Amino acid sequence: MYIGHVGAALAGKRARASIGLLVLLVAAYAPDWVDTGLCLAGSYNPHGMLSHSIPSVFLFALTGFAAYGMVTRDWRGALVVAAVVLSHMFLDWITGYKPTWPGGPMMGLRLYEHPIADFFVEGVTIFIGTMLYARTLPPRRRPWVDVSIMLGALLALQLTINIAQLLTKSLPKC
Amino acid sequence: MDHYLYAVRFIGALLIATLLPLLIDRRARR
Repeated sequence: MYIGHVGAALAGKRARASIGLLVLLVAAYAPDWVDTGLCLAGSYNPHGMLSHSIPSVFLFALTGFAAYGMVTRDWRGALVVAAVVLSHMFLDWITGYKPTWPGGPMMGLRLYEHPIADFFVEGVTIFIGTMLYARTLPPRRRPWVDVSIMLGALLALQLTINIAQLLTKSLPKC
Repeated sequence: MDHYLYAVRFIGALLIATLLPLLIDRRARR
């Protein structure tokens, strides 16, 4: 999943409004940031065993839980951070094809191969996340403006990625 | 060399996906 992960971060904001959105966005993309680091280090694995397998993502979630909990003493917030990290794995199973554990099977619906279906699923995730996030915003005379900007920008970003997918069948991460 | 270019592109995409919602959120809470 691409921009759909932002939907999970926005939903996390609704679950615990005191958590900074930056923390939730980093949590939502944690496995992809690990992939980037591995790519720069020259040890990238195209299947994502070290970044997207079940044990890896649970390790990142535990790290996020411990780090956020120790810094803020907000252990309920730490649970939300861990849940947002874990959401990456579940969302990627819908759109991608990811490893389960070393020696285990690959899993996922591979919607990346169908950019229109991918846009639909990611769009629904973005929409749900944005609607949940909308409830965290301060009261305004025209609250739908801010929500529309968020929803429109995220959908436009997702659409750009899906069009790029349609034009170039292969977009290697590393 | 190629993998550095890919990494830069990947980092760019992650930064956009992170910074864009942050900027919109900051505007919405002003």
